[in-house]
Amino acid sequence: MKKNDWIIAGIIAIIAGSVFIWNYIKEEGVEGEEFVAEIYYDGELYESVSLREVNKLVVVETTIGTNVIEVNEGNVTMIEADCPDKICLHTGTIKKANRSIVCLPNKVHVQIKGNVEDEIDAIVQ
Amino acid sequence: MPLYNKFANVSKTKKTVFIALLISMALVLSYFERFIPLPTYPGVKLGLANAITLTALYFLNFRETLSLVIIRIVMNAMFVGNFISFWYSLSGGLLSFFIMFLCVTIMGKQISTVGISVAGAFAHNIGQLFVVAFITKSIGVALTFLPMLSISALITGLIIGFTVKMLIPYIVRNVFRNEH
Repeated sequence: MKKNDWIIAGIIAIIAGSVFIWNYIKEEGVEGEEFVAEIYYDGELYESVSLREVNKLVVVETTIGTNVIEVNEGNVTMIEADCPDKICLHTGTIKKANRSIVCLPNKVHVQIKGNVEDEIDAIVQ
Repeated sequence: MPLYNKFANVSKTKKTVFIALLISMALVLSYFERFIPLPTYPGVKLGLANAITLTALYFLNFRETLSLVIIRIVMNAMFVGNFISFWYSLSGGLLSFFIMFLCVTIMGKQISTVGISVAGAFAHNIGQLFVVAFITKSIGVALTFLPMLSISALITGLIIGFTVKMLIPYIVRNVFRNEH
């Protein structure tokens, strides 16, 4: 291992660390705020579900495929998907703001959001 | 300019066979790496095929390595992949190759195989996140995966780097033994 190796590893660690902190700050959300699970298809909002819902199932049926998302008292899980890689099913349950489950083959993604206007995402979309 | 440039003058036939061997090894590695259990975090993988790209950088020039990368990705998609995994590998594989090539070109002997490999693994994950951001049309979603993927890149890059470090003297001794 040479000096430049450590520099590269250091740069990557710094990038990872700063994005981690950035994500962590956003995950905290605002006290008492209501979280919603926003379900997107092809970058467009498909359905928005309050996290207070109990055993609510959302079926996203598109020309590409079908995904079933369960929202249950603050927990969001992708419980069914007919995509080839099943990465979205392996992601498991998400609870915190700004966490997401992505099913790329079906172009579906779910992200938990607070009610505050999200600057970064507003610019991107 | 490859680091082992004394092999620049080997016969065309030998070079073609060498490239073909590297591609076939990359395909076998990509196929078998799925049987190695890893944490099932989206996008985390060993990236064994990256070891082949890295090895190729030491012996082949830019054009030859680039064609090797593209051929192995297209062939891999034909054998096992699907539409999305093809874009994943293409975006990740190309970005990883360009970054590793830059590392070798700019720093040359000032950087070891391990550093190049780590940079390549990280670039591979960034390339994949580009695809995520492109399809979900949201950079925020892609960023949520970045910290975990970077840590995985550091670890897998280290493993691949040390592997290639041991592989290169072997190739010099055995594959090109008549050239020096």
